Amino acid sequence: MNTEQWRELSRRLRRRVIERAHAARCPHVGCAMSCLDIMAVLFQAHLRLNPWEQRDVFLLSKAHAHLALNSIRDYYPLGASSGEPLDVWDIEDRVEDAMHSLGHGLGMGQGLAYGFKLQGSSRRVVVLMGDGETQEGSVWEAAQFATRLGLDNLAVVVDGNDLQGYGRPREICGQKPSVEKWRAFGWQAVAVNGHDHQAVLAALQTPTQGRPLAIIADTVKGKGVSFMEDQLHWHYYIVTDERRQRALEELL
Amino acid sequence: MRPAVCEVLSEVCARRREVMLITGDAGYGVFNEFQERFSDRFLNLGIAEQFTTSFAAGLCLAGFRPVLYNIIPFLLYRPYEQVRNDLCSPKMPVVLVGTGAGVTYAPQGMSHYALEDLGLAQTLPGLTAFSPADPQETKAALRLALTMDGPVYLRITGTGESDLGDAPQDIRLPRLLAKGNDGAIVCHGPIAGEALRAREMLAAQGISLRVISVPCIQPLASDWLWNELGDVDNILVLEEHHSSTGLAGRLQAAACADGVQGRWSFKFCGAPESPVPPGLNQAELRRLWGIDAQGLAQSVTALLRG
Repeated sequence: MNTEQWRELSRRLRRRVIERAHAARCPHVGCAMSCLDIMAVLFQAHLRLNPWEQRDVFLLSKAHAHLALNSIRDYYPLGASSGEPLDVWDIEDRVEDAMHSLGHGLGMGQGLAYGFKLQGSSRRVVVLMGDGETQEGSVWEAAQFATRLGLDNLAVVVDGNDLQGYGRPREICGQKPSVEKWRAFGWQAVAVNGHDHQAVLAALQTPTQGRPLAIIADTVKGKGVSFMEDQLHWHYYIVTDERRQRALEELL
Repeated sequence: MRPAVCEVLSEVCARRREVMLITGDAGYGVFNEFQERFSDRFLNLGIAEQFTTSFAAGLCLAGFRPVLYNIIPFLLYRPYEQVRNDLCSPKMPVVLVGTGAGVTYAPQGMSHYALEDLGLAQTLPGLTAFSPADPQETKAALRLALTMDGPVYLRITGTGESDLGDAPQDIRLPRLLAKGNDGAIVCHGPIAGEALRAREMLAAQGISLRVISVPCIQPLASDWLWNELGDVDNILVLEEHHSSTGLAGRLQAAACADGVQGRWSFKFCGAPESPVPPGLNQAELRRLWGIDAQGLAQSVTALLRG
C-alpha cells in the first residue's frame, strides 16, 4: 500500500473507534488511537491469517485498547477486494482477544510461541503492550526467558504513548520504555515511529538472528483527533454526541 | 505422593504427546527419571510464578496439556490473578500440582505453609480441587484431572505417605476408609492417617468410629456424604487447613444449602486461625493443635458425650 492508502485506512479505522466509543459510552479512546496504526499494519500486511488453522496469533495485552481491536475486527479483511467483516473472529474468540488485565499477554504469548516451536510450526505470535504496562513485574519475568526458550517467532510491540492513568510514565516510575532494556534481556530491539506505517512494517520484519523481537513504538495518545492528542483526560473521557461530530469531521 | 505424581505423568506422557510438566524450580531430584525419558516435555521456568502461569495458558491455546508443579504458595498464592484470569476464566485444562499441603514443610516457616489454599481454590468456581489422602487417591485424581476440560488443583504433601485402604472407586466421591457406627471423622489429606490411629485408640474403649476421606473438595459431593452419614449423629471434620475456609466451612455451607443443617452435631478440628508458632515440626504442631491421633481421640470422646 502507498502512503495515501495507509492514511485512508487509518482514518477509516479511527472513525470506527469514535463510533464504537460513542455507542458504548466507554473510556480509553486515547490509547485505542495510539496503537491503531500499529494494529492496522499487523492485520493488513504482517500477520498471516490464512489458512486459519495455521494463522499467526495477535494478543492485545493492553486490554483497555479493545476499541482498536474491535475496530480492526469490523473491517477485516482490509484489502481492496472486500470491506466485509469476517465471522472467523468468533470461532476461537479467546485466542485473538484482550487479556483482561495488564502484564498477562507476554507470558501467554510465550507459551503459544513455545508450543508452536514444539509442534514444528512456523506460526508466529505478536503481543501488543502499553508503555505503562511495562511497569508490571510479570512483563520482566517473561522477558528474561524468551531468549533461552529460542522464541524467534515472538514479537512484542510497546505502544509508547507516554501517558498512563495519572500522567507520564517517566514521571510516575522514573523510567520510560527503551530498547536498551530489552537488549539487556537478550532481545533484538528497535525503536520506531508508531504512526509511520511503512516504518512499523519494516520494524516488524527486522532480522532477529534467532532472537525474540521488541519494538518500542513512539506514539501519540488520541492520535488523529486534535482535541484528543496527548491529552491525559482522554484516558477517561467518553465520546459525547458533540465530540463525536467534531472528531468525525477531522477524520473525513 | 510425589512419586505417585511421577508415575502417572510417565504413564500418561507415554501415550499422549500433548502432556507436559513445568516446574517452578521446585522438586529437585523428584523428576530425574521423567526428565530423562521425556526431555522435550519437561520445562523448568525458574522463579517466575506469574509468567509461568500465563505461559501455561498459552501452551493450552497451542493444544498442550501442561501440568504445573510448585510449592503451594508459589503455585496459587503469588500468581492468584494469573490463575483466575488466564486459567479459570477461560477454562484452560491446566493441572496445578501443589506440594507442601498444611504444615508439611514445618518448621521452615509460614512462607512455605499452606493452610488457606483450599479457601483460595474455593473462590475460583471453575477450579476443581483435590486433596488426596494417600498415593492411591493422588494417582486417581491426577489421571482424572488429565482428562478434564478445565483447570484442576491437586493438593499434595510430599514423599513417603502410605496407602490407607483399598483403591478409590470414583475419586470425585468421598471414600470410606474404615467402618464404624458411633460417630464419624470426615477429613482430607494424609492427616486421615491420624484419624485411623485415633480410631484404633477408641476401639480399645469400645467406640466404633467411621473414617471418611473427601478427596474432591470442589465440587463437593455433599449429597453422597449426607447419605453416607445418615445413621450417625456426630461428625468431626478434620483437616490440616483452617476450618472456616476448608472442608468444614464448605460442609457447613452445603448443609445450609441442602437444608440439612441441625441434623448432626459437628466438631471442627483444623489449624487455628492464628500465626503458626515457629520452630515446631509437623508432628509437634498437630499435637499442639489437637489434630494428632491422641487429640482427636479426646475430641471424639467429648463429642460423643455431648
